Amino acid sequence: MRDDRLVDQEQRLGRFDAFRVLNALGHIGYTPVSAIFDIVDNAVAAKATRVDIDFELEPGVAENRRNNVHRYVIADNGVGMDRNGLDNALQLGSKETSDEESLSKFGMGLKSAALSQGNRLSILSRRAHSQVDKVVLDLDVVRESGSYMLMFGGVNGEDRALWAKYLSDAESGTVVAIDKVHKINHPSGKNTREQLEKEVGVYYYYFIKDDGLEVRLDGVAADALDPLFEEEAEANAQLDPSTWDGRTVGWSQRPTTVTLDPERNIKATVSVTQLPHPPTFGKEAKAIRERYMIGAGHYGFYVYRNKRLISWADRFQGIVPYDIGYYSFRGRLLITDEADEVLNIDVKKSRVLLSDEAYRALDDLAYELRLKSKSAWENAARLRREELGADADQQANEIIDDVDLPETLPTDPDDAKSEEERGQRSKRQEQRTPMKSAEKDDVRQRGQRVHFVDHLDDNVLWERAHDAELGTVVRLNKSHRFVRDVYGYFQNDALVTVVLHSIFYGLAYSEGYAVRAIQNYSDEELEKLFLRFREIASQMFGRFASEAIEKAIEQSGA
Amino acid sequence: MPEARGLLLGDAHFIGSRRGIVYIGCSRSASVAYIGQTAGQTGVLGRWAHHLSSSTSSFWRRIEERGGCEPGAIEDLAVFASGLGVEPHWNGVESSHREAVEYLVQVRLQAVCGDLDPFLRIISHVRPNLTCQLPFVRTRAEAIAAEFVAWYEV
Repeated sequence: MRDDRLVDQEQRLGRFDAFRVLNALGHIGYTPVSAIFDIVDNAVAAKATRVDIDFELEPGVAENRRNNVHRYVIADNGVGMDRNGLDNALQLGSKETSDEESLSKFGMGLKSAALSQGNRLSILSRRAHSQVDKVVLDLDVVRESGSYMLMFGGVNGEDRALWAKYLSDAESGTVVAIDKVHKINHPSGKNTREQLEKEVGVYYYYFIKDDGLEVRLDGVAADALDPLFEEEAEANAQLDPSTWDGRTVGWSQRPTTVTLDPERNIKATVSVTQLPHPPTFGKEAKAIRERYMIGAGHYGFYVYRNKRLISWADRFQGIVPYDIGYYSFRGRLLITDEADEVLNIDVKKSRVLLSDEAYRALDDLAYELRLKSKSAWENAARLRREELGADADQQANEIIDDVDLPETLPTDPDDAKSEEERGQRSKRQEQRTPMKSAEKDDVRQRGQRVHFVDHLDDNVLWERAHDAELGTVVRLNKSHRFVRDVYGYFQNDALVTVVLHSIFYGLAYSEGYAVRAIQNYSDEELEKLFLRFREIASQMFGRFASEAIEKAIEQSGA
Repeated sequence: MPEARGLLLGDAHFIGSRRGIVYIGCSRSASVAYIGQTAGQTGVLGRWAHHLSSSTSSFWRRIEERGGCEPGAIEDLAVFASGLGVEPHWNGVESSHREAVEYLVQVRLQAVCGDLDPFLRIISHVRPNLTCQLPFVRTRAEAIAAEFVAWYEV
């Protein structure tokens, strides 16, 4: 029986250990680069037109050694902060800005980013027409005091020198310095600098290109870098996978809308380009890979939230599969902070996890686009192989042409009459199923005995042609499902192509042989019989293609 | 089974004519839409009879998987249908062209489903094929999507 008597209740303020909480904030998974970018976001929010990123190394330590960073400095010429602004900046969960396009999400970025790299955060800041003020958050002080203790003021000569180094020409601005840098497995300054050089132009592409933001690393401004190379795509035609030669950037999908959450009408803009196919460029392939950042870690979707990149080459749990055939796939998802819940954006603003609904919507749109991308990649690869003379079809034909097939078998009668009859039947075959002149040239010049044709009567899968001097060729029907699906799937595989060519050339050669050799039936009767056989076998091969082989390919996970 | 309202009887699309048709079944009460295609003898009515009569049909499965609601929440059902044309590629046994239009209509409606009043959650599962790239297929799909939006918003 339920006891409804009132139970004494007591209210108490919850407690927290400031040091442990701040320490935990510093361990949510920032890298030096993602931490620096979170601080740069604050500069952008403060309407900075220039941001300097700098780091000082421990004296006497090589640049490429781990744990060699002494201090990180990020300085901007934004609107700056007064004492109240500094106080708010270091509040855990600092107040939301009214800016609709704010890059901030939880008001934790500055603290967690800074503490992820070092134990002391110092901020110098000045609003227009006022003095430089300062605040320091030092984890050692927090631990000793047992409280979330901040130290304001106390601008000294060293601070002024630091200010002058970056902001002597600025009316206002902020300098963020992180020192007491962590010394356990901390990436080297060289490593961080190289990563920043590659990525800052991509992360802040829109701010640099459209808003004139200057982000300087060691005093050198980064160029805006569009991971989709849309300007180049604009100069070229829409991507046609069947003809793309791999040498240009093409539009796969111009900017279009996808609804991630229909109930709240939350949308994203999606665009996709196809980047060049590096192997097509031969010796220049490496340079192409570097210029367009083509490789395992760079294909997929680049997610921009309020114009700032938050996810680099996201494949969204398989929407873009892990496969070299997609290396040229380059997509962009443009969202605002309205989509944060749908995409489960985390504090670091570096991870995206699509809701089920958003996943399905994006997957539906992307399905065709990834088929196009892979098809285009394979076409470019095929063209490259043809250019190099390494075409699978050509290789297979060369191998088959070398096979010495017998003109008679031991069981055949070898008397003169039978031999004469074979000769006459061979001539009649030549008249009945002659080789075309182009086919004769292909046999003479390239040994090409297996040809693909656009169609054959009654949609049969194969037919043979004969020349008394050159022998037999077989024509394969490109419109037949077996050729489309099976040959199409293995078009790049010379070994499988040899096997398939052998089967059909063997069938064609054997038909012709049987017509000449089985002399207790007329050759006309035998031709009719083999035609009927081909019609029946074509149906069966078609059924195998659709029910067995396609299923096997699917099950193989390819 | 939901009360059948809004069905247009007596039209060739619904009676069954072995003509290629793309249809969109939608429920305003549950905010779901299901896109499909057929060229069967029983037409759209026959397809929906199948969808609704079997508890394991793809329609009911998608309601549970993607609709975010119980089947019992479906209080209404309206079916929009558009004939694809008389050309053989729309009406044969081979369904590539119809499936391509079905896919492109779904992608197009995904862009605007949140703008509709009431909004619609697209629950069907579609896949593209090579015929999606044919200009006349894309044009037909755009037209059907626009026709549906105009019909839905009346």
